[in-house]
Amino acid sequence: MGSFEYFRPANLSEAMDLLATYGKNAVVMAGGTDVMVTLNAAELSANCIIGISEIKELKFIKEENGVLRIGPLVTTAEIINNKLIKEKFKCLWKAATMTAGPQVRNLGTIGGNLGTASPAGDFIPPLMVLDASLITVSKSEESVIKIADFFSGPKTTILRADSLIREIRIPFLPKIGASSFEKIGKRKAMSISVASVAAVVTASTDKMKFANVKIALGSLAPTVVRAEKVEERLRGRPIDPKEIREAAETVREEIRPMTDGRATAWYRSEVSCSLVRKALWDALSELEAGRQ
Amino acid sequence: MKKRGKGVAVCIYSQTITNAPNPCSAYVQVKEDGSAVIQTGACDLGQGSTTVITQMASEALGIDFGKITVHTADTETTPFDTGSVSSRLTYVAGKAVLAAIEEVKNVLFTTVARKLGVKPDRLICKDGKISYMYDPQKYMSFSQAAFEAHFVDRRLPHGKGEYYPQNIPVDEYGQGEPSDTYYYHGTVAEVEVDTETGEVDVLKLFALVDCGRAINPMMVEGQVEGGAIQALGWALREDTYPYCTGVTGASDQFNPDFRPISFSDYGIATAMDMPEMFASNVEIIEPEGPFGAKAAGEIVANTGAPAIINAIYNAVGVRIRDLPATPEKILRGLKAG
Repeated sequence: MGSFEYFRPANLSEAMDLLATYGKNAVVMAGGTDVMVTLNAAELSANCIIGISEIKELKFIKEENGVLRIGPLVTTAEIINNKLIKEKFKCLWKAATMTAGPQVRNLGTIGGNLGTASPAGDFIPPLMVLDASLITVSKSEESVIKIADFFSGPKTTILRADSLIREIRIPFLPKIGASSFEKIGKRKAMSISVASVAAVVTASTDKMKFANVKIALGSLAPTVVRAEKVEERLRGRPIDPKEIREAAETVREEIRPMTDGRATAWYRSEVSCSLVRKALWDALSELEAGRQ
Repeated sequence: MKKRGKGVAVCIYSQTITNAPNPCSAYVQVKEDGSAVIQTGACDLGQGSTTVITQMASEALGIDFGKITVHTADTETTPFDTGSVSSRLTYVAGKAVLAAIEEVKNVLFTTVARKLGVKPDRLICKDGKISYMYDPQKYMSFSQAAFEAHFVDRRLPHGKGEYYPQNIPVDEYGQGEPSDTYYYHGTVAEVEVDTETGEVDVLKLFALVDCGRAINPMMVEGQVEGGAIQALGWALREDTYPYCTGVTGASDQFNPDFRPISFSDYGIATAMDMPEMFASNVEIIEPEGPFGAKAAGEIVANTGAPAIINAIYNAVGVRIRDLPATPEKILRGLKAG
């Protein structure tokens, strides 16, 4: 691991000062569930670590004007325990329950999942289909970045070296809308996704047709991607098994899966359709039950 | 679509080292206060041999478990044992300790026979007493008998015992007695296979060992459960070679990097992956075994994996011929038809 300087800013302002000074050479760490692993595996090196887990201003879950506002230091466990997220943002809640295990969920944060930017990150597909925006902040300025623009490559974001994610904003779903998340892993816990899908489905008033569909795919390309062809294929169509099956088949054209230590490209391509169908059906059953 | 299937596997296992002399031995001393000390080379690796030896001595001497101390595996002071291998210790250490206890009982029974005016072969050890088998009111306490043996009859209640398994090698017709006894294990597995992803969910595992007399039934249950769970990983996930995909170096899909790089992604089953489990034993008493016991050691890891593989075949008609049965291999099998 080597030696490094360690700072523990007590508030956001201190953190901003530290980042302004150390920026390029610093690694920001919250729960450390990714950073510590990559540091130990020497995949990441740091001259300086800025531990932000004490910054109370960055931990909140609140609702304001039809928007859910979440602080980056909110842990996976806190997301699971939040009633509002469970009822109104099911895909985010489900992803949280399927992540890792209790110990990691108690420490790992939603901001960290975004910062690590692995295409296998469980929060990313849900945030994509929920059209989340990120507020990032540095000593000199504040920006709003749409989640779709945030990732530039595998484990790479456009977040500047002197900036932090300050907030995640998620608009509430329309009335007849529901979401879901599915993933395939090696085992039922402590398993990095081999493939994952999040879906948001909104329906016509009579619930017989798709009004809008959003699908985001994880671990199936260098970054999380939207399945735009599938979405296009389903928009305005009747909600019907044949439509869903045919549309799901086209997902293979939209992914660029790789072979890595967890699965081959072939396998990922094969299971992608099944996963998309599962996510759509699960979202539809949430819709039917009046949940979101 | 998800399909369910069931599979069975059974196995037979020899115990003790079958092709070389492998003795075990023990010294037993009963002290003047009626407590006992056992010394034996038999090494408890965590499998519980010391517990089982203590239980057997407690039963044979009729004294409380807490009055027995066992010293093991000290090459300076404890008598020889070949090693904690081949699932042998309950059997060989049990027989060695019981043989030593026979010598101890000879001394103590001489004392009691004198005191009660009865024949020594009509005495039994039970509940901290040595009593006349035809009249339980005629007895001497174990500790009193120990004291008087020391200081009245002038004979120390010490004993030594050893046991060598038979090791009769098989001849050119395959006849012989390489193992003193054989024991058995079986598993029934029920699985659910997702035909679109190849994922296998083990719903139920039912595992049984025939260990002869279960000296410690709770330990046996734990052992059978442990073996079943070990088999789960072996059958479905654990591998360090890049062949989990089911393709070999000849295929253009082969990737030598497709392998776990550390234990964190090795894939051992978690608590969330546990099936509904039933782990137990049957007792087919082995007449030659100590209290009829055989063994419940290594055997427990053997039949879980083949049972699961058979269940997968029963569910979806895919015959996996090398482990682990990963979703990739099962999916390839399904696509091949």
